[in-house]
Amino acid sequence: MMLDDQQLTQLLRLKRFEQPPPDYFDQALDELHHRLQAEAVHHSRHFGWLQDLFAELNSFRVPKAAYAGALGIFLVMATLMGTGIWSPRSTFDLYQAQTKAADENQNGGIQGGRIRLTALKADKQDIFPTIEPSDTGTPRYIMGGQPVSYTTPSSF
Amino acid sequence: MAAGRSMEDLHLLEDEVLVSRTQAGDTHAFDVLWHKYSPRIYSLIYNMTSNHEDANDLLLEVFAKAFRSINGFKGKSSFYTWIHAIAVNMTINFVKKRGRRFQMSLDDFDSNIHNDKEFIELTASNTPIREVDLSELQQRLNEAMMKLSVEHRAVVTMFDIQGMPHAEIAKILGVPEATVRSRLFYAHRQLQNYLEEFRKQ
Repeated sequence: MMLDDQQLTQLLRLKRFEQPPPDYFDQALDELHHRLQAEAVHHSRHFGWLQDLFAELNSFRVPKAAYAGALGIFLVMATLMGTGIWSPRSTFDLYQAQTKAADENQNGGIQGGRIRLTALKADKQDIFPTIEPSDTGTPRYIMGGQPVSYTTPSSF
Repeated sequence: MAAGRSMEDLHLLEDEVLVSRTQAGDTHAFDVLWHKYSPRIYSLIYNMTSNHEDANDLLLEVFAKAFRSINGFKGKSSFYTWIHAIAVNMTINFVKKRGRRFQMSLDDFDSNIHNDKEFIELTASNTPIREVDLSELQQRLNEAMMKLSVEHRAVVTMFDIQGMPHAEIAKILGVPEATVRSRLFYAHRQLQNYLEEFRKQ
């Protein structure tokens, strides 16, 4: 004969009587206390400095007006830069750069019969176009991203 | 004496108050929550694992996790539902990791079982358990339970053994009530078959 639903439920409910020893829960609570204390000690050893930092950050109070002030400054700067009234980058003066480079590289860095290496420092040279663009056509030869010749080669 | 008195007072408080006190750093309040819920949580885990040592380890882990996470408990559900959900999830993960490598380690039956009305009815009626002794019955029941999937075992434990309503089980598992009912139906059919097999042996 097969168990019906009610009998099955009655049978399963008998499992409520499977119990650990009477003092089990008190002993387990002591074990839980030990475990939590050990965790707390371990945590304070390894993460104490981090907790201090967060506590310090939490105690740091910023005046409410500071947020509004920072937002206002950001909006003014964005407006000035967006409309082109002000730019943080300095403008490039082509004429001045050419004159300076020509002075520095005059005679290939030779001054007074001696080579002046400081005049040839590549990393300090300003970038400027060395060959004027042609009105008649596209450059034929490009080296290092710069056009070097506009003429068609006559022979190879 | 004063500490004893304060513990007695704490036992009278609602779970919400005990949780708030624990969140404020009162560890005695958490001890009261332990005394209130550890037997139920132990029973849930034990009936899902059929092993006392595993149930003991998991019980401690569940309460340690609850203590660590209590500041994140916002009271959207009851503490009862919350800690049961932690226990079910941790036990399901544990059982799945454990796989088939386990041995049953069963608790003794409380001697009060002999006075239980349902036990007297069952042993007196014309059912298979009339013919088996108590330890054999325990062995068979636990073996049948362990043949269920751990999700089905969780539902059977909460409904049949602990007597929880479907709605509460659904909240704990985070599934619709219909899912709870269908799992229960399927689990009962399986258990009836397993226990029938035992009877024929």
